Amino acid sequence: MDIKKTCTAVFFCLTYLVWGQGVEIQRKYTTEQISQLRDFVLSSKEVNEFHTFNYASYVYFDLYMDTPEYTLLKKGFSLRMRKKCMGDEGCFYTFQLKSEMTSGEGVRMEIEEPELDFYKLVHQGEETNLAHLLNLLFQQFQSAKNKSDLENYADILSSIQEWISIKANAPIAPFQKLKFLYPDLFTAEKIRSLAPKMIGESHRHRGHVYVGPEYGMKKFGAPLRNVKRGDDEPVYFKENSDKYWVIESSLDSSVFYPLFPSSLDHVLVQEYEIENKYEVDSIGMIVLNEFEKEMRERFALRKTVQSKYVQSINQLRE
Amino acid sequence: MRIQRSVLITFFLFLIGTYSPAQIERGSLILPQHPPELTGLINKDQIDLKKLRELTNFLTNRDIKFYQEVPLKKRKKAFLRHIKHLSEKLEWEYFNKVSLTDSTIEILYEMLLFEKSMKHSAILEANSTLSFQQKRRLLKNTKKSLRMFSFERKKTGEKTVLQVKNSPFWHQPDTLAGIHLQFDDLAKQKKIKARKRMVIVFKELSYSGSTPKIKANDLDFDNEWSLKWGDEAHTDVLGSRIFAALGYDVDHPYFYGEDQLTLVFDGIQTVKNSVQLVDSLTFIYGVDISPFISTAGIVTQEMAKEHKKLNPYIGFEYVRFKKCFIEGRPDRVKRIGTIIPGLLKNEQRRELRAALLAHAFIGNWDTREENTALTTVHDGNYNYRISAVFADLGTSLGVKVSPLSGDFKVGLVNELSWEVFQIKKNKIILKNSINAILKPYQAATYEDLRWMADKIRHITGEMLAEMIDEAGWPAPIAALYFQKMASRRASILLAFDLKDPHPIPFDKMLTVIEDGVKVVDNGKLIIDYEREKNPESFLSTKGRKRNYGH
Repeated sequence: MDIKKTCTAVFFCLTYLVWGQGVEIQRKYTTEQISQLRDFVLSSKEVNEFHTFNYASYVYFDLYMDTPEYTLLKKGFSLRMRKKCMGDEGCFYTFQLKSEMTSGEGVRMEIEEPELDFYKLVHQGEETNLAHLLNLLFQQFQSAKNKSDLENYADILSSIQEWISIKANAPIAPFQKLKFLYPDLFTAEKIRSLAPKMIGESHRHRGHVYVGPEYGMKKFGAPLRNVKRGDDEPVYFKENSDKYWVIESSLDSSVFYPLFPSSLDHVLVQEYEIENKYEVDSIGMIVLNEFEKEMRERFALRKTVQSKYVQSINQLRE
Repeated sequence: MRIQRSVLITFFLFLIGTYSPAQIERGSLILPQHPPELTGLINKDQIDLKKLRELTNFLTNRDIKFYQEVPLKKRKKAFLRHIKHLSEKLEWEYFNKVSLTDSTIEILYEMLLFEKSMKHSAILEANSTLSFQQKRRLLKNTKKSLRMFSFERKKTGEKTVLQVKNSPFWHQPDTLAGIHLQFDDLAKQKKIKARKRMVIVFKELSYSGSTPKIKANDLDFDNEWSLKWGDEAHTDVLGSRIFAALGYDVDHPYFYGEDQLTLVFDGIQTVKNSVQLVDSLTFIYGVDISPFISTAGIVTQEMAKEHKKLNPYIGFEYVRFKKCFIEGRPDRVKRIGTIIPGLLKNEQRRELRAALLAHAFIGNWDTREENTALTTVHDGNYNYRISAVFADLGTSLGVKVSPLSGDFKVGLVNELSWEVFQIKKNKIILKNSINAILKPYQAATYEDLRWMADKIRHITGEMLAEMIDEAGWPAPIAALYFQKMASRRASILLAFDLKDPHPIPFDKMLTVIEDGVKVVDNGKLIIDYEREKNPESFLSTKGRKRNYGH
């Protein structure tokens, strides 16, 4: 009973800390029926009153960092520099700090530095920017034969570490957050010790999950039209005013390579993720539960709470 | 020859068709003498990196939620981007040992303005309920301001009107078709689209200010709107257009007459119909808006045929009004705080000091700092621009303050004087009551006001007529306002010995007879014109605090 109480208290404290500061309500699953699930996602099928629309396939490249003592891992965080290639929209670069899920309900903190192209730095005597440097890094990653060989990327990684060292005390969003949460632990010195731990690539099939007006009317007495999202609302829903966006889904297939001596050459992670997109969280959660129930029954989905970083780094360190 | 002419005409028409407002340049913030807060950020010939980072951290760290124990407003994503772009430029210069340049100093000014604005506004917000002492001060200022702005007239030639550089506080109006269209240009820049007939969806209740209002979204969900009712419906519209024509950035109010605007309730928000709307606003503002309602009902398929986007709302309730006004709250503009007229030596800025005459021209009374906004404007492609906004200009064009009841009424055409200045031999006395005598207004000089008078003289009769037309007054009231504003303009030019390039004839003895009934007699509104259609009344001095006499 006491343990239960403590867990609840910790959950509420964490929720309070992260609420309103880049919080996502998402859930992740694994399954043995991955090919059936892939077929479902790619062919935009329906499940009961939920319609899906597979609209894009993206490729992500990630560079994960941690301290030599794996302080981030121990505190339940992952820190990554990411290149997101989103088809015709182009490629984008971000620097993200994410927490592990605080419960099965899927509350996850995400703090992001959303643009990296205005962060200038010097690489091999030339002026460049962080986004450009990450692009170079991931190009080398793609062309490298032995992807876990640190030598492939040594020069670039050294410039990135130099940037981290200079910016350890600067107002960079993930650093600001770490210092706020653990001021004694994440000192400038600790942040300077952050080093690349693994590099990888993910292929992601993105899909919208939507309902018709009658769904909301039947369940809640009102259509579930988002009114606050403005520019965040996908074009698909702006053009189809009778379809209401409730969930975003993604089917990920990722491979990660260690940037430290490991008995494994790489780790493969496959997972299905859903995230609430309806603006009233309490209602969004009910909708998410219902969709989850249908999908679990159909594809024998198993809930997982660990991030890709935790799943991979734990295996690579074994 | 004929072909050439038609080609030219086609080209001209093409130009008009494709005309879009030019990007607004930011302008300069640098003052002749830097404020000490700015010099504190400089160490010898370089930026003090530690202090810069502290400043940037305050502006961008969402975990810093309080200042002097009062809550800070949530920092929006666009604002964080704006600041980080600025800060990174300075960091790069620091690490490359670049000596200070004007562009570096400009960035420091901008960041400091944002910082002081955030902090100062948090304190103002925390004390937004006026104490007895504060109310007394406002009343005292209302009287005092009628006497204190007296200036020696100076013999200066036409050419001696001083020039002011563009700045985030003011821009030389730059509109091909006339300065009165500056308001529309600013709206286009901010992607504000007001349609002739509007349909908006209720979003949430509002709790600020004294004018009853709510928040709503348009059917594209692109823009948020503030929907308001009351005596500022016409005055705010004209006041904002005149301020924009004079070079200031403004909010964007639009008047809607009978049944021109439909408010739909989506069934999921707190307020679900017109009855709940009236009850909620009566509870929050003490104003019963039911006299402003014309019709209420259920959205039908017929209505959805006219407006395809109403489809999802068939079967839901809607309400229409006899009159109301909406103000754009565009996604592209983020409000950070006030323009802090009393800090960072802002009283040195001629464009702020001269705003005293702009207020006087429209007869604005509520000049409190809270009615200004320092904003960050997204110009597209991640380009952000700082801009100072003069907001809530509706407490103008004839104001009656009732000290005993604490009530006030605006838009009383008979209360608006025909002259702005009283001229006594070599002295001119500004005759406009204001409730807040901000530092720049205290510091205003004859030359400052003359500079503004020079801007006012560029308003022509046609421009004035168009701006008054947009305010939506009934014809006799609009006619009287036109005469009065033309007269006020003339009195300003006379006070500053400025030649009038476009004299606007006016008649102080205007008489308007409508259907055999005298409405305006000898320059005075003599009947409570169409009271049913104008529930706020153009004659009754009972304002919002006395429910417009209902």
